Amino acid sequence: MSTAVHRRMLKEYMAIQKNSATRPHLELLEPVQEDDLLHWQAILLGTADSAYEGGKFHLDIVIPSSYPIQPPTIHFTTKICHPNVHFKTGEICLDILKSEWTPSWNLESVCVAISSLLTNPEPSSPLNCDAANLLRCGDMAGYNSLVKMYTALFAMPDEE
Amino acid sequence: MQQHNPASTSPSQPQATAALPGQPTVPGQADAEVSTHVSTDQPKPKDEGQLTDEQILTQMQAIKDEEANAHPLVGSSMDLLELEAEYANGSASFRNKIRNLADTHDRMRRSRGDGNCFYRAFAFAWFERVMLAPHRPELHANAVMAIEESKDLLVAAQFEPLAFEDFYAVTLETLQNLIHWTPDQLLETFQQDEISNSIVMHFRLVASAYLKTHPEDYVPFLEFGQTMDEYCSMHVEAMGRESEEMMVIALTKATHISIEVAYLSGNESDEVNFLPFLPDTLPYMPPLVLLYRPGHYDILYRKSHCLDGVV
Repeated sequence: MSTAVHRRMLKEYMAIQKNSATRPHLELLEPVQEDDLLHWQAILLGTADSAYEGGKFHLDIVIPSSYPIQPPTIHFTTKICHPNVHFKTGEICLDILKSEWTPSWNLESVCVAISSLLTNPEPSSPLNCDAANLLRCGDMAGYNSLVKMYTALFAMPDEE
Repeated sequence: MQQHNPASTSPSQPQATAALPGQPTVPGQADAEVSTHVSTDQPKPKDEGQLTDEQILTQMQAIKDEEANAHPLVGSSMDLLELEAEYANGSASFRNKIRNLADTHDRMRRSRGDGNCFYRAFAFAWFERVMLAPHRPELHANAVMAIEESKDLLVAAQFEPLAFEDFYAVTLETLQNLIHWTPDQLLETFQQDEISNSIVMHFRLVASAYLKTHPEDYVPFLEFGQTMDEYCSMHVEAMGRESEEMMVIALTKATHISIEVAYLSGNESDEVNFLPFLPDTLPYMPPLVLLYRPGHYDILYRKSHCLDGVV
């Protein structure tokens, strides 16, 4: 393994453990296994008063050996209804995960950005056209009830 | 290209065919071909999730990588007249310019065309200059001081230490060690992805930090409504984004290193235009000379700088 990426991930790991109290919407951000710092998982909590409220959304995070020059690969493993998330693959359409990535980002700030994408969708670049079309038509009632339904179906394991 | 994923090329082919006017096809045939492709092939990948944005991006990256890997990050120096030979079937004005340039500049060195060529060429040319001047230890001392100062600039621009400290450390360490190296070792170091890209990243962040800490001078050059932070994260800090003149100016001022760029453009003249970029302080060594061809920077060696030991 490249030592530079290892060093950086170790620093991020330590910073994340220290800051854990300061991010209300991020329930978890940690390596899947303690001995592999290139594979992480996160759990985002649906914001209160949003259609995602009560949902827990799991993310899978893979760190390339060229990180942080190249971005991490992140996708949802919990099914989620959102204009910028592919319903089947969980792929996320967010510029900072692609062409706009810079090493100034880190895992924690990226997770926070994904969390804020949930309540600030960008319907003009959709990966989920059905959800985006409802938003573009201004059908907020339809959009919110669709999101609520999928959140209840897939993101609330206790109620299944 | 096709090896990577044939699926990516097939939808674009019919469009290319249709775009060519006057092809010897039966009228209407091309249209029919296009319409079938448009109605079946194009929506298909989306419906089945066959070709997601992520996959397209991965493929584009693979194509870029393949092209880039054909050249080292920084090449060995070569006779400038070899470049003239590359334009044997090209523009006469280019050949004349190169021949004129060769009167005063004998060699050049390529920097890989991966969008980072300016930063890499700048760093290599500077570090090589320092290494080849053991009789002028102040060049090394000034360089170390400039890199150390750059850390204060990064802090002043409110970069998180986590974001810059690894790149800074690699850059400073390379600079500190190079006085013990042979020219070949310096070249090998700049050819290693991890070290070379960390140095590029450091200078990207330094250029960004300079622009962010001097907004009053540079914001007027941005697109209307764009903030300096937006511009920097999109165009300066992101790896692989090509450099514009503003970054050349920023890096010159932040490092106190003067640069002269020889513009090899396609105009009628047989003379190459030189554009100097000067720091705010008095330059303490002759300028680094870069060769610019549209969209790309390489390193030039000026005869009067008599750099013995260039490899």
